[in-house]
Amino acid sequence: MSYTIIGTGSALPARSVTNDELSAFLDTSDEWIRTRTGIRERRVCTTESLDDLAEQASLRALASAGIEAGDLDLIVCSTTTADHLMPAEACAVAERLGASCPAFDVSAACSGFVFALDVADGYLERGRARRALVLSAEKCSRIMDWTDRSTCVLFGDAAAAVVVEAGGASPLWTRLRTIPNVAALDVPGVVGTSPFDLTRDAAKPSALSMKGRSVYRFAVTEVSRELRDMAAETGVALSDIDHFVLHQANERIIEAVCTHLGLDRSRVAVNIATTGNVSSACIPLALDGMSRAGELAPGELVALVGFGAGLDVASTLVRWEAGPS
Amino acid sequence: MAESTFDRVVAILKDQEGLDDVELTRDTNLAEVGLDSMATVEAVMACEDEFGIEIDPEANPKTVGEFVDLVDGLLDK
Repeated sequence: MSYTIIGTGSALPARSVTNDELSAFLDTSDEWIRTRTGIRERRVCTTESLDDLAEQASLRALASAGIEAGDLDLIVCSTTTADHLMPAEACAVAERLGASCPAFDVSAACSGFVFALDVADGYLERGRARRALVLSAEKCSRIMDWTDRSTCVLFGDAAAAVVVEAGGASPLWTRLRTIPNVAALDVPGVVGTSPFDLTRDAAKPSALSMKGRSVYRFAVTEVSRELRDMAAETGVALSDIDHFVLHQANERIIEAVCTHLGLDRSRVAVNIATTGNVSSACIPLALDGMSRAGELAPGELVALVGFGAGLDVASTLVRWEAGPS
Repeated sequence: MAESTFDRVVAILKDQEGLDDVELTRDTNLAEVGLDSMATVEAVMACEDEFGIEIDPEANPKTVGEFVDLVDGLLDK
């Protein structure tokens, strides 16, 4: 029971956008953004498609796992910012990789990677798959209102993936929760051109809006609850968990959770400074960075907590097995 | 009662980073002493625990006085 993470990979767009560049067309400043979010720069797609990033991240994950696309039985992609409304982003990845296994997307916003990992775990557990590619691909830049200084400074683009194989010591815990609140964090769907649609004129564009106070409060409260419950239910003390990889929405949220739970900061991943919030790609991007930097040792316990629109929150505790990539 | 609510709210505000040496009056503007929106939400959450009340998540008191009145209004109910 149930799976082992055997490889990781990630890909970022080439273009880095600094806070100063944003200050050139928004009423904001490097100091304001840094002190409130921890973000210094973010990567944004210029010529790259999300399909390109997803393909690169997947190829790197396959290479680090030492397997080929033909060895995959399942591809699950978490995204809410795909290049295609249909087919799934996962199908574009399958086409690029030359894989012919089932491929589909999971939509759970910033919590999506942990949701997708749980979906893959179900396929492995039921014997429907032996190896699965679980990836997150997000081009957040396409859903920003670039005149809204309270949101567009927060996000970036990225893709990151893991390969999981049946058998192993993960997960020790998984819990997914939804506390419904659509308006707190919302990107309306496409408006279309239907001549029969009487709601069209009142429809809002497909740009992100956020009630920051509600989301901050939800995040700090519920992420703390997830970790407390994880420790209580598994019998693993928080002080015995080697790494905490939380969704990178805002460094201040991560700091507040650390304060509330008394977590050792050196065990808490923070990679938001150079990539911003890349939605569901934050967690696998951090895992890939830590793995390649040799910061994850076999046998270590890693807690993953995603949170975001829904409002969804999802946590899992895995035992790291993959060696340095 | 208003005085004691004031003292308790001020004690919570002073727990926020960088505010322990700042003198707070009813007219003190929270943003001007360095309490931004997220720090205000932290203080709101701490007040909920302290007073056993539920405050509107989007509440945005601008001054210490507004903060105290927000709490007092919920205590009166």
